[in-house]
Amino acid sequence: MSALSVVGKRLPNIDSFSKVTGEAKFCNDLVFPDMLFGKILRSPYPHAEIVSIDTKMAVKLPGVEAVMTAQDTPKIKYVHLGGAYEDKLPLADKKVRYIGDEVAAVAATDEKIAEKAIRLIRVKYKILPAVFNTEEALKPEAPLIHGDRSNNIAASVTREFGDVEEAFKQSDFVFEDRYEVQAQAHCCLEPRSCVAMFEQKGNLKIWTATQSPYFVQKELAHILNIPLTKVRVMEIHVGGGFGARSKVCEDEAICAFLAQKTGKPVRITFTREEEFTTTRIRHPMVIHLKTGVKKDGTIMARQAQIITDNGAYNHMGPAVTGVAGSIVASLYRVPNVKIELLTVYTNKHFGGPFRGYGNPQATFAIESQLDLIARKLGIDPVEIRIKNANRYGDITPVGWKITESCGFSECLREAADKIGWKEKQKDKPFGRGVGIAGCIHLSGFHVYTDGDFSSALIKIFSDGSVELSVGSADMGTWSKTALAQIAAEELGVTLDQIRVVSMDTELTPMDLGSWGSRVIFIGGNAVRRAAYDAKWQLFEIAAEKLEANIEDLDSRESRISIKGAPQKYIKFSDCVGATSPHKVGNMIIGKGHYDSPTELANRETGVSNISAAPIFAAHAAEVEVDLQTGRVRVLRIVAAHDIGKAINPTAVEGQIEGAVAQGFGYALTEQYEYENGKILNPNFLGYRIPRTNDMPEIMAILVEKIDSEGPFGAKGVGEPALVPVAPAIANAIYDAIGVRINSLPITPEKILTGLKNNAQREVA
Amino acid sequence: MKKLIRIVVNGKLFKVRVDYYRTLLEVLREDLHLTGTKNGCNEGECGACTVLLEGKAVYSCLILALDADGREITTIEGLLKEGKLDPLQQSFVEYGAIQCGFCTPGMILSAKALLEENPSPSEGEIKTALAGNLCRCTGYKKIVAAVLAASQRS
Amino acid sequence: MKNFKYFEPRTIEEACHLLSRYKDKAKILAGGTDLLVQMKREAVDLRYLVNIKKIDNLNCILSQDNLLRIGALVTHKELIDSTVVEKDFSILKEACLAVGTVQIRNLGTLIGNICNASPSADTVPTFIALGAKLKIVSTRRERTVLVEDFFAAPFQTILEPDEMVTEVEIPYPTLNKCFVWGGCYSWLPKITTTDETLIGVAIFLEIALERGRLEQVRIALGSVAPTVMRARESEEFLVGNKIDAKVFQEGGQIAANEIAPRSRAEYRRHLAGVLVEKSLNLAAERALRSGQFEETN
Repeated sequence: MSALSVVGKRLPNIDSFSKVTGEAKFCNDLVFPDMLFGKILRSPYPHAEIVSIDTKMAVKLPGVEAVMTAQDTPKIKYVHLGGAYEDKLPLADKKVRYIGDEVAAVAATDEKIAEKAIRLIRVKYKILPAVFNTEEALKPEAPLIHGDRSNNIAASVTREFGDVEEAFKQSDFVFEDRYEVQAQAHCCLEPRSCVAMFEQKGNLKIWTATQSPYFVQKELAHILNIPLTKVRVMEIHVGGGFGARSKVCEDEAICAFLAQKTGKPVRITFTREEEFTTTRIRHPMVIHLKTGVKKDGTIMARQAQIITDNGAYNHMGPAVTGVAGSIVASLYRVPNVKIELLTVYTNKHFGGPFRGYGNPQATFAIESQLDLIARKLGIDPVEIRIKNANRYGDITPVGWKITESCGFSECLREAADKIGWKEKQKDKPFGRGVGIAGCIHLSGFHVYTDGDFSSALIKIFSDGSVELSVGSADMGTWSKTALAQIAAEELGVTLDQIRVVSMDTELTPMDLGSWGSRVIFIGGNAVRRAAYDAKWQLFEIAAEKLEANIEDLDSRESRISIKGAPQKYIKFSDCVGATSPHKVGNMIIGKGHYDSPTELANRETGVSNISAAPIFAAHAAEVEVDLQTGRVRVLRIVAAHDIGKAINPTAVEGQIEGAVAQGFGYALTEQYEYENGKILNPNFLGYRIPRTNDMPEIMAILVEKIDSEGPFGAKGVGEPALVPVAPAIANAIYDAIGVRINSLPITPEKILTGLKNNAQREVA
Repeated sequence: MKKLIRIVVNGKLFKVRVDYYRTLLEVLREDLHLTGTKNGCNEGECGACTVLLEGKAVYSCLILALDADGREITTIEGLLKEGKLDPLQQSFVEYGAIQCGFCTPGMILSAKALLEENPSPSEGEIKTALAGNLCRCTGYKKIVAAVLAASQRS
Repeated sequence: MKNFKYFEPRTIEEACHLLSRYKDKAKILAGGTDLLVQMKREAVDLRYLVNIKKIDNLNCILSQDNLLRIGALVTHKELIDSTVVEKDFSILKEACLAVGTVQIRNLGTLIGNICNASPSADTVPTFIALGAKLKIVSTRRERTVLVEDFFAAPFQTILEPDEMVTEVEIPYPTLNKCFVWGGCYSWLPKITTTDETLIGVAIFLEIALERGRLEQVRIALGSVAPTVMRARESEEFLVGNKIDAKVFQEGGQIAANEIAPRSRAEYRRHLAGVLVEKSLNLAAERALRSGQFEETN
């Protein structure tokens, strides 16, 4: 490969000018003539039958233009249409299942009127007994949350690979521990917001803060029962995603219904309280983990029972639990595995995708226990990990093929080195410690029958400027910038020559969206192919003019020349001009499509190679524990990631640093408080995400091992950087004070209790 | 009930008739169409609505518009001077201190107020000054670096 | 938010007149940082809003008649920046810095913070430790009340509906060659660094230099009881004792047993002991340092 001129460079985000000036528009900034404001009436009860809904008073209120209940909709359930797990209507019919369930919706000329109208709707409920944790929900006498089922189990899967019983027998030691992880809120700084309007002939236009316009288009067409071509998702800035916006949600459907009914544009924007109480969360899980090892630390077998608190609806619960199970089978070499996965309904807000998608939960358990094993066996925690680390050529029990770019051991070594692992083992004051944890994740997930694809379009205009069209959304990850860098590199133009159009389902080609750490890997490949296609077309013209073979041509700074002879060139604009008699009026269009060479997730066997490029990481944390107050201060986190190739190192670091902050919150500060299913802290005062002065020093280390399948060797990075944070901190706390905390978040009270127990044990 | 208020926003005088109950944030966004000021929580916790009131960083969601009568306000739109970015904005661009961009206007204005008062703050002082502004994307590292760089530049 | 009537009185008399007319249907707007949130949540029945910002002289910090007088419009930020405060009452600055964020400190007033009567208000323990008084006026009467006696219950004061607080007054401690005084405000946040206060401790102590004897001790604790409280048993124990690490440790333990927290009780009790002990040491250290300063002058 010749030297890169755009890829690998720290170029500024292409949206940064509009974002620092306040020019960037988000959904809630959009205003249209006659626009109405939508509000949703929500259930105040965790579990109840809807006896009747009286909307008369609300309808009569001046300014109200529509009041809707489930009766006004086609009552089509959604999320993966046709899938086995569909269980949710955009507006509840006959029954509500959590506090916040959508009961009715209003559109009015003003937000205050809409709020008032909502309060004028009279709903008669028959309150039903409710369950708030999986233990209660699993009891035979528990109330049924979904009446069409025989119990509250949303999904149950048991799989065994190898012979776990036999492997435990052959193990020198077997460890069994219980881990518990809490719910986590995404806390996108932009509350959910969308604007929908119907144009002539029933065409829907919707601006929505989404990561996956294609999913929104597909699901809305399904819910509204209209053809795919009649739904157009528009381009708009998205104020954070982290998984919360990778699938369609109720508000998007309700907004579309209200627009359909009124014939006017309707905007729905959530309050922060709605954002906290009714949008998706990271699933809480209880994980029983049993691991057998040889004296030398070799892992022989793992058995895990994972019970997921699904909340009131599936959304992606069973799939998230499935990924947690796959991680149990895939993080480190585990020859024998048994996983029992149980996803259980409760009368609470429900989970969905959140950065890591089941992985942070499983990794907290695995990495905490592996640390404990290392200590018990007297092996260095870094060494036991390197000993068992996945390597190129491995196939994990669930069928994940580890590719040549695997840099797991390098990440572990780098993280340990940079935190000063060896030095910090000696002369360590009590209360200070270091910990390490690893991670495996995937770049893209082949879990839809549609494939795991992206498409891209490149237009080169007669002046040589370039437009790149991609169907994915950039929710803040710099994906548009990185994709443009890939296009610029392949084409041989500077980044400022490229304008990116994204998200618009009418203007941009199909793309599954920005989730599963897939945009750069899958989308980037599509972009590179589109750029190559466009470049080839230019080269065909240039080859004639320069009297050269296409293979001998090279392009740099929008000029094409024969390799090694840059002084004689033809400009892109002249090539495009040559395609029409008047030099303008035609353009070069390059198309690119990439469907990753993987296997569709096999729901029968659980074994399939669903991603072309597994990703690895290792984080090392250094902490200081205040022995008097039990407070933990995280001093630094070293985050080493095998990212293939950094398309833009600044962007990659940004992903890592932001994910570390979220992982830090997951480990130490973030927790919902409930009382009978009601969330008591639906605000930033009570649900604490890290602020500037909470954050430790973060050192991001980019381990670049080129992946031949990735665009310029790149793999994903968005999700994995959150995954190892919590166990790295927990392990560092153990190193500091000898206290093992098996449940998140780690609170000062848990630390003090641990210290007290240790002291009592010593006395005894 | 409405009241006519006069506010100077980004150096320009506006006369607006506002309902008593409306906040400065609402009036800036809805009446003056200055949508760079964001509404992230509406309860004075996230900082996305931060503007400068007489040069001081405040949450515009916690101020009634009529209480701002006769006062001077700077919003993010006021930082761009003749098409030129403020050194802080420039620094945010160069240091990659932006991801989704929703917190960015408030973050920059908090930093602006800090640098006006304390032109060469320490890293700790920057962190304290920005503690009223939440960001969920960046982990703050590049934001703090950008402010530090801007302070050293000017 | 619901609609309401709005007034901008120019004098204290005008404001009092409005309050006497509308009583509990009226609310005073000063900084507004607490009131706006309550209004949005419709947690207050507000019909009449009395904005006192146009009243002259309420934004003053004055050193007068052996009192430090802080007006009803003085914000936390103004107090932090005040040179008068810096010189004699750095403990108050310490407490103000514990309040909220920069944006809140820029808007929120000290007296608003007191009147909101949150058990976790950061400035209240300090005012109590310093023996501060509130000047309360109405059309009927004028009175002064110790900050300590101002609270009836969480988020409830003894203020009558027609009354308003115009200033808080702090007496300067007596200074002479035999006595030195010192104080501090220490606090721990609930979870994150910028967070509500889990426990706040304000200490004021006066030491007789010759024998190192504690002459006067006031310990006020925030967030550990329905209202900010004095640790009187601990104070009684300490007065008359010599300054000594062991004495302070015991003082902390006694204080820990006096508190009545609602949630995280065990942890708060533990922290009360730790923090009171630490703060006593710090306050004593500061007192002695100030004594040295006085002597060399």
